Amino acid sequence: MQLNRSGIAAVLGALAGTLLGSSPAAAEAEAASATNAYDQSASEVGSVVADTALLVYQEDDHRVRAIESETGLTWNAPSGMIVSGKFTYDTLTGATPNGAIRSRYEQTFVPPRKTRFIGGGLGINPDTHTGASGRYTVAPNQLPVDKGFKDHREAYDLGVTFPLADGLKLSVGGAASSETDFSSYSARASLAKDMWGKNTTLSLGFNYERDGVRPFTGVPRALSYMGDRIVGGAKVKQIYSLVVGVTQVLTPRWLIQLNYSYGDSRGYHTDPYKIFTLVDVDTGDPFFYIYEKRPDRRERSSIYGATKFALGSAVTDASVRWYHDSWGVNAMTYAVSEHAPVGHAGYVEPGLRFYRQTAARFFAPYLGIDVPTPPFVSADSRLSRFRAWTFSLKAGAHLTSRLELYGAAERYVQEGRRFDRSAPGVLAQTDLFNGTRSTSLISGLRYTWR
Amino acid sequence: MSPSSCGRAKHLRRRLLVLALLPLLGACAHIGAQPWERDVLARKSMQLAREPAIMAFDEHTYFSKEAASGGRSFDGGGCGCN
Repeated sequence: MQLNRSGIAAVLGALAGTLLGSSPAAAEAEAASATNAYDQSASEVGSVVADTALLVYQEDDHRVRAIESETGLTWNAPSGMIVSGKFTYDTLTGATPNGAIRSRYEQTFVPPRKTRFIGGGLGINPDTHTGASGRYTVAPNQLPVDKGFKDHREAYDLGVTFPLADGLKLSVGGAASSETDFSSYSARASLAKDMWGKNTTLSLGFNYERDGVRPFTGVPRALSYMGDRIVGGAKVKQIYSLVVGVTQVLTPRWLIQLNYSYGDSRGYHTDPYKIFTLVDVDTGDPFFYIYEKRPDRRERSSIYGATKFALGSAVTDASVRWYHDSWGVNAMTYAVSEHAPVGHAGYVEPGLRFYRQTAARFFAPYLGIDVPTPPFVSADSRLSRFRAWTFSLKAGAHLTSRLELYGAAERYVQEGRRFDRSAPGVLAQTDLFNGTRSTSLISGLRYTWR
Repeated sequence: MSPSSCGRAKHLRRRLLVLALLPLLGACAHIGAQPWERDVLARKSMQLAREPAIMAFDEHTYFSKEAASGGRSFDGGGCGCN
């Protein structure tokens, strides 16, 4: 019994030592015995790093498919200055839900009219790039999706970090991205200050973003009937974001990060391609479709906490995020992953992420035709109440001291309330949730010149 | 339970709490790492923003499918996925 007690005490002592820090001698011994490539220093001073990666993203039921490539070049000057540039190109194809509910009857959807309504003709101008602007029909009991959806995006990002004074760094950068119907420009600046023997880092960042949307169909009149005349060609929104953070080293093998972020977004937030169903309150059948409408302002705040803890060559990474916005959405995100070394040159990292959110105040899957139309309404599943799981496996290996191969496989599953037994008529047996399930495969290659 | 025994229980709980927090105070004195202890913190595997490309792809996916965004950094999206 005494032996057992002393054994437990030894284990507890070792654990306490692990948590509260190890002696210099132990650290040196550990460094000497480090045999995995990912135990090496992350310092890239005096190097140029080229990084290229490819993502293949596929949603279930032949919905959206995205192929995204990213190529970046980073120069880490001996002075401590860092210059980085990144180019992203992606293509999107597939089918995206248009906001309408399933029906036991065939449904036909028409775009807003770009020209005056003369006689019986609809002034439809089908776009050659995307079917989002054309007329289309959805079979009975199928989720209404626009199958002609396709687009591509080019995005550029440039950033520079200057070491200003002892432990103080200034980072500035800008980004631009362009799609056929959307463009975005942003500029950012942040300061980071290392303090108390580099054990504490305080950071403060500001970002300004300006987004312009030019829908293929023109801008529909919000809350008016499907097929009504457009009210414009383009809309804009501006986003101001602020992030304040602290990173703290707790022990030689344990660090934490805490961020507070605030974003104020003003302008056009409505999805111009999304419609909303008004139903017959007796039968539950779709009666009428209107264009959705969202508020012109959205304030978001979040608190994000993350921690990394090393035990031998393994590293546990855990994070939590609390989110709230002025649309009434509250969300919690939890993520955990475990970096495990494999041989001398590789690692695997299984991960799990759980996310849940409440619905926006103006979200509804449908409304009865007898209900006065509210000032804002959307049936976009992104604004509904749901939870989501991500199961991931990342891996990487140093093929040579300069060349590194990495990748990831991820499965993302959203779960929401599918049936509402109190819904009118046939809607009580209609699947009202149209969340996403998707699979992502990522592969990347990184080369370092020293 | 009488009011006096209830008060004693509260007092005991407070003392136990103080006792439980004492080791943490001790730990505070040792917070951080000395320059010669930073080898583990400097490892590639210990960096907060590892695999930036994977992180960017993931953020893009979540931004286009969920209402919440940001936290780790700015909450803009730069994409038309609204």
